[in-house]
Amino acid sequence: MTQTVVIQVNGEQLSVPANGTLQELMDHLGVPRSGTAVEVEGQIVSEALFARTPLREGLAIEIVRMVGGG
Amino acid sequence: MVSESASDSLIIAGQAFSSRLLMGTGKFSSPAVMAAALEASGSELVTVALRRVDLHDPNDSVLAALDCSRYRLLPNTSGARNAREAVRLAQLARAAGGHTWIKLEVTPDPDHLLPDPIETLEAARILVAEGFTVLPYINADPVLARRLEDVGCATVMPLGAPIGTSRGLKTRDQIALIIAQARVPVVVDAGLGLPSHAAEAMELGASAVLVNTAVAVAEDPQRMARAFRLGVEAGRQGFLAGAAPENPRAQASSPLTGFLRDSP
Repeated sequence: MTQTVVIQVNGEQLSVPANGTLQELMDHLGVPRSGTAVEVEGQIVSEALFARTPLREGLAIEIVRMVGGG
Repeated sequence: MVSESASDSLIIAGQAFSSRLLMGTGKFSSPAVMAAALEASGSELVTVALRRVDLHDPNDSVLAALDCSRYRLLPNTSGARNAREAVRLAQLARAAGGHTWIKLEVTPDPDHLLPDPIETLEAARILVAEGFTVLPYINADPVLARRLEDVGCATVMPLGAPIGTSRGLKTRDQIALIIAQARVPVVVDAGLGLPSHAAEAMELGASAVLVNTAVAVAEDPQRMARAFRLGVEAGRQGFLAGAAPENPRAQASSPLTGFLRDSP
């Protein structure tokens, strides 16, 4: 059985494979890259670094994008 | 003779816009309705917000309907309650789309959504230093407007009335003071509910207005967007034309001689 870790994405607890990366998480969630920004533990992570960002237990991730607003 | 030529551009941070109507993209009933209204408004500069992606519907995007080649996007920092949160949102907006223009808004109290002047000034200082082009949303305070200019903001955007109230130019006298002293464009932002409100702001000498709710929640947003476009244009032309002075008493428009009656 694959080991998992629990991370927090946009305030929700998610259980993900222990050896996964941010890239795999974004693919799994189906989040479009365009117009999206990602923060890991309060630090912005550029798309180029997604594949090199491992998912560790307890990590807090924010994924935001543009929406309608005034 | 003054022509109505395209030379009357709105210039913000060196970039020219032929439209003096900035539009928000919130509250529209559908992306298609929004796109039609933006088209009718003639706007070239439109605001957007930054929010968490819905993990259960990650492709849901009102902005898919937005042709980004036609509009410059102006992300806002709505939701920020202090300078730190506003700077964070601006940095995320830059990361999300390379946007370096930011509508700075810091509104700690959801009840009235009035901007915090101290946090706004602090955030403006930081963002200008980080290379952002900063367009701050402020209360109609001439002293604050000057302070924001001094730290390098590209515009000042005083409110006409609180966000979403559609009550018009309640801050008229203070906005006149801001316009009189400003060395950057003055964009009247928030509270305008009718095309006549937009015309009034432009007649007063505002450089532009920003409208969202009044168009988005109108029964016919497309028609209202066109009405605001015309209101802004009418007000601008009225300002440039130089208004007749007000008089406390009647002054006849027709000659006061040659009446068809005997002398009094």
